[in-house]
Amino acid sequence: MRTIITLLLPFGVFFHCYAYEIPVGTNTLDVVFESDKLSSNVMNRIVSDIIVCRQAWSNSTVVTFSTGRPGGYINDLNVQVSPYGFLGAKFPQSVVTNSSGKLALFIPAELSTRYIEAFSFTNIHSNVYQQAILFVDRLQSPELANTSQEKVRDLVFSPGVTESQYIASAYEILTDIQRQTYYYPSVLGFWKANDGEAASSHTNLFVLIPQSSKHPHAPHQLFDVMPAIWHDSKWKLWQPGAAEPSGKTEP
Amino acid sequence: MALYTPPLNFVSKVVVNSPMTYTNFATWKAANNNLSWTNGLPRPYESIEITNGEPQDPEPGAPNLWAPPTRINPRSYMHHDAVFEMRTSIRGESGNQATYDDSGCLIMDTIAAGSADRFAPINRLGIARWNTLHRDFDVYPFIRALQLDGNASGIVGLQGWPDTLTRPALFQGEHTESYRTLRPTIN
Repeated sequence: MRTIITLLLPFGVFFHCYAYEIPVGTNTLDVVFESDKLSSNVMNRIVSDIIVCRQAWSNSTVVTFSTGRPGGYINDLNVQVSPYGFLGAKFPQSVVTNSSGKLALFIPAELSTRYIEAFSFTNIHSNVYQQAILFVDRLQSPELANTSQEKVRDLVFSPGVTESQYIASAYEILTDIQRQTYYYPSVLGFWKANDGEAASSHTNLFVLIPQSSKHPHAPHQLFDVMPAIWHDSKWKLWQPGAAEPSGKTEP
Repeated sequence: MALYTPPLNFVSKVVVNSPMTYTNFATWKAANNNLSWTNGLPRPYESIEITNGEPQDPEPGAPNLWAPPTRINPRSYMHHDAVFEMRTSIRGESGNQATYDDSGCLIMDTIAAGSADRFAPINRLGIARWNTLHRDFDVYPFIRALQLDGNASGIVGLQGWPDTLTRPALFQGEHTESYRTLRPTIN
C-alpha cells in the first residue's frame, strides 16, 4: 500500500535539478542534488542505487510524505533495511520541491561526497567493478542452473574447502544460490580488508552484493547483502570458513 | 476512596512494537503450523565431555549425524546460559540444534535450549549456507517473538547469518512460547 500526500512546502528552496526520476509505485519522484559539482557518472550511480532499493522493496513498501516536517519526508518501514545500512550510509529520505515545482528526493552533499570518494577506488579497479556487474548477471541468469560441478568453485569461495568438497556439495551450493535475488552492487560496497582471515594468500578485495530471498512465504521482502571476494581473477560469493570443516555428508 | 493495591506478584508491562513486528510474526505462525519436517531429526547427546574447557566430539565417526560441538559466543545472548552447541548436518532442508551448559549437560528447557531449524544454517561443508532462509524463517521470528514479549533485543548486524542479540532476553511470554511450539526443542 502506498499513500502519498501532496504537500505545500512552507518555504521555497530550490536545488539543482537534473533529469532523474525515482519510481514510487505508480508515481515518480524527481531527484535533486545539494551539490552542483557532481559528474553525471556520480549522479547516475546514486540514482541507480536508490532505484535498486525501490525495486527490492517492491510492493511491500509503505511510503508516506509527512507534513510534519519542513519539506516532507519519506516514512518508509524498509528504509533501515537497505544496502545503504550495510554501507554505513543513510538512505536519502528528505523530499523537497524542485525548480519545476515537483516533489523531489533530496540527495545531501554528504552522501554524494561518499560516492565521489568511492569512485576513486572503482576508477582504479575498473575491471573488477565491471566484473562485479557481470557476476551479478551470471547469478541471476537461468543458465546458472546448468553450471557443472567442477565450475561451482568459480562461483563461491570459503577458506579451507577443497576442490573435491566443492564438487561433492555442488548441487546444494547451486540450489542455495538460486534461492536469492541479486542486485547490482553499489560503488560504496567495495573494500579491501586490512587483516583477518580474508587477508590470506588469496586476496583481500571484497564487494557487498545486495540480495533478497525468493521464498514465497518470506514474511516480507528483506534486503541483505552477501560479500563476494575477488579470487583467481573472479568474483565469488564468500563465506568465512568453518574452523574445521566437518566434511560430513548428509546422513 | 480505597485504592486498589495489586498483589505483590502482580507484574504489568507495556510492550510497544511496530505493527509490522506483530504482522510478520502472525504471518510466520500461520505459514509454519505443519511440523512434519521435524520427524526423524536426530536426538542429541545427553551430555558432552569437556576437557580443559574444550568440548569433545561425542561422534567423531559414523553415523555422522552431528557436527562437532562448538563454543557459543558468550555475548550472543541467543541462547542464554548455553556455552556449547551442536548442530546436525542437513536433513532435507532442516536440522536440529542442541545446547549444553559449561559442564557439558544438555539444556532441555527455556529459550536457552536448542531448537529445531526449518532451514539448517550450515551446509555439509560446515559453513554458513549461501542463502538467507535460516535467517528469515528461524532467526528473525525468534527475535520478533522476544520483542513482542517485551524484550528490547535487536540484532547486531543483519548480514547473512545473525547470531548475536544486542542484549539478553528478560521475558519469556506467549509469543516466545508460540515460537518454541513451532521450532521445538527435540531431545
